[in-house]
Amino acid sequence: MPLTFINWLLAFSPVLTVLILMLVFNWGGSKAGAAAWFVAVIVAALRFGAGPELIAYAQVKSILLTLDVLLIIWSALLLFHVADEAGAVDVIGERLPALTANRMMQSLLLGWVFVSFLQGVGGFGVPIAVVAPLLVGLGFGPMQAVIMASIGHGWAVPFGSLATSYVALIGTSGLPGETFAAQTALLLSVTIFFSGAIVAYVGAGWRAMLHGLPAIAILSLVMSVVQYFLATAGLFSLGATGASLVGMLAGIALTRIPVYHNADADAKPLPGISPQANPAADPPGAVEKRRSLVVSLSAYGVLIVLAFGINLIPALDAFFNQVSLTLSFPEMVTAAGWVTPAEQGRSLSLFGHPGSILTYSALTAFVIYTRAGYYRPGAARRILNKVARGAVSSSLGIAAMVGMATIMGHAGMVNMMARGISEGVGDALYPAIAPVIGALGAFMTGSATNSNVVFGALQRQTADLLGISATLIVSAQATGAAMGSVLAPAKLIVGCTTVGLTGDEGIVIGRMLVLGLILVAIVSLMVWLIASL
Amino acid sequence: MSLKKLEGTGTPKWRARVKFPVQAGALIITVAGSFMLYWALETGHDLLAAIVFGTVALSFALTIWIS
Repeated sequence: MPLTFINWLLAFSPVLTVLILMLVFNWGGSKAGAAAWFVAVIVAALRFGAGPELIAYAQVKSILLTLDVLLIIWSALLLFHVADEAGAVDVIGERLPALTANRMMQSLLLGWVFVSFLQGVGGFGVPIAVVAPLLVGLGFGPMQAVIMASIGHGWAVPFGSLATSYVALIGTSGLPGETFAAQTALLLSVTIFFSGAIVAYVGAGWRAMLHGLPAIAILSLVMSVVQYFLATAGLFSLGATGASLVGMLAGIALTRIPVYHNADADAKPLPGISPQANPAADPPGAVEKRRSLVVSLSAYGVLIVLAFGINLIPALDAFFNQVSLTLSFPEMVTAAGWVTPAEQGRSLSLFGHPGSILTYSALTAFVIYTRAGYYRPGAARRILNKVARGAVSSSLGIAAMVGMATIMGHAGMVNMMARGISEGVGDALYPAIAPVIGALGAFMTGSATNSNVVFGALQRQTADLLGISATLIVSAQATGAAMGSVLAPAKLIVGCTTVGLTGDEGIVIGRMLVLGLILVAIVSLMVWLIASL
Repeated sequence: MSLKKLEGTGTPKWRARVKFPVQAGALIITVAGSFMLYWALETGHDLLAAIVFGTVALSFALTIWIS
């Protein structure tokens, strides 16, 4: 099919539909995704020569990819609410900053390390919603709190939420996760350092941030190394959780040093985002003291033990991965001649899937918290209700967008988009643009997963056409999407609501954009430099 | 000023009440329907495949309407 502007625009139209509906008309992901699915079906059939059988098979294939992601989302939310309903999340959040009177270290422990831990185990806006009120309770301003909690957890997005967005990118890019884990972890290590520095600056000011640089460097190194080893060992779902857990231990050790333990004279509130009274915050100490930190952490301890055990012990790995669900698909050809070879669809291991491991952990944690007497009557019903209501809408959005992306791929529309971009931008500039595309997608759709679903195949095919390393470009997509997702209005609105800033979201987004774009620019520069080597 | 703004909310109560069940139903239809679609395609039941695909499309249309 010839590359013309009309063909390129039509190929781009489903993505454009998502972006316009979400950005201009403020539609949610599920609504915009469903509309874009219809656009993809119509354009694929009428312009790109996709027959009914091809579209139907593509829809089936997309459901396997969707289930791969949804199993993680539902079970990650289950684990989070099992812990949250028991009061465990509040206990962890309150005990950490009590370790130091130093504002800069408090900023780092809560607004950088703990918020990333929550991204590792939960995600979906939960980190900002939980940490921003905790920061306000410690005397930080509501705007400071939202900005710190948002910027602080961006690095934990790709291997956080039990690697939901990363798994989605594996599916849409067609690259095995192991092939681009190292480059993704390396790019993220740079953002770990700079996001820590930004959090310290926002929380305590320039001078305190400069004094805190050694601590930021040490914690960045520790978290980067742990995340790198976990990700390259194939433990994608534990990358951010493991890194931030070790980061918490290292941070606690650093608070034993007097300069990071005592109150810092340098700490100054920033003009424009200074602390102020916040009616939405609970005072420190509001969490019941009788709950043990060790028992509170047990939900995540169980997860780590099970995930490491099942992934690293061959006998357990073989035992849990005996039953897999997969489907075979025939070769498909459009009337325009675009061929999708016959292949096996995505294979889902029913008992060894990260979602299954999360479910085992959630059930075990529920028993532990129940025996410890942490639940009020009716907890199980409340937990299941929160999980279902929290996950249904985003699940529909993912199903629709994965369906759209798969149909586009099978109709040759993604290839058409990639050809247009490769001829328009060129191989010299594209590495710098790739993270911006990822960030833009996440900013507009409110989710790194959505961005990876929409742009994963496009980035891969553009890289192939330009002769650039596909693993580097897909890593750039993962990292850019992570940086863009923390700037997304959809997430910031959640944070603003929890600290009493409802109605001031525009001001917060304006201040966030400046800081967030620094991170996106750093990633772009890094990718461009690596590609130029 | 529009009537909706004067009333203070643009979402009727009944719509808010049925939103979750309709979204949950649409999700179940999409997932289960896709597997049924595969079976219909593989066994050559073209009419059934067309009906199931139409039902999946309807679930997406419901999603747009209710969300």
